Amino acid sequence: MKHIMHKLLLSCKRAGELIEKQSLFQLRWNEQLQLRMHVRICKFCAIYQQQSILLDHLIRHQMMETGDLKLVLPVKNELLKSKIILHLDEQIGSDDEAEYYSSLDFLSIQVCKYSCI
Amino acid sequence: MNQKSTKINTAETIKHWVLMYFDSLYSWAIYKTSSKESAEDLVQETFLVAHQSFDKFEGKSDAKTWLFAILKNKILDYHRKQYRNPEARAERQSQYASGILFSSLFNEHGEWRAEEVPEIWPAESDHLLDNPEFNSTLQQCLKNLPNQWFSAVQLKFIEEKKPELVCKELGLSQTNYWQIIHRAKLQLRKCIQLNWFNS
Repeated sequence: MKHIMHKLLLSCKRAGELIEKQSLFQLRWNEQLQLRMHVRICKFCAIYQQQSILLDHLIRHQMMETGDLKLVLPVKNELLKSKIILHLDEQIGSDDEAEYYSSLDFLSIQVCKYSCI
Repeated sequence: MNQKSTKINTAETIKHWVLMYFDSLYSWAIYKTSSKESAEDLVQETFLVAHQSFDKFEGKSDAKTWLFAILKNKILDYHRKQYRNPEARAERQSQYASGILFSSLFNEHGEWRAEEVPEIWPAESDHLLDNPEFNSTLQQCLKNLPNQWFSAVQLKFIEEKKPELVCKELGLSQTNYWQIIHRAKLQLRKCIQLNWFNS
């Protein structure tokens, strides 16, 4: 009896494969029929199918971006952070240089105030 | 403004962003790759790209959204590479893991073993979505998957593209793809059963 059921209605292992295939691709008509029959008879695979769909739902929910960032465990890496900042500070250059350039900007505004109109 | 001070301003803005968003970007990258080294590379690259293409930013979206969009693309590339480049060792590891998984769950006729049959999860499992503790269990279970399976699961959900296209891009057959997803899901289900519902 079991043997006939496997031939006609798949093994549980095969049914599980088709459940995942179905979540990605179209099943062939005979696969679809076999899966539907198997799940109707086998309560374990019926449970598996429900849980598989729920898991997809849960994982997809996790994938949403910033919205669920609260669910992500915060991890720190101060070393790397300060390395990047140091690198940027080098580009920003010494304070003297920055001041020099901002004073130039200031001058050009001053000049415009009196002569650009 | 001259070119030099524009450059300095850009660097200052990026620095400000590093101070504001580094922690959440890094946590996210760890979460998505389960690897410290990869997360470090990906976050560094994210700020590098942001710096280089700063003029494309134009304040159209807020900075955080923009940085996350860059990181998301980097993570996607990372999983594509992980998947496409299954080193011989990783491949063997995943073959080995499949063998053990299948024989622990199913008997020789492909039926569930009595001690492994799926049990009904309690009704409150609908509310798992917003439970941070459950999410860290799920994260841990995802982390324990063999690398290739982990990447396959990530690709299934990150990609907005059709699975047919994902397969084409990765150069693998559709059968191979859903079989790997199947193994990953069996393992995940068992891991969650053990670490959440039974504990």
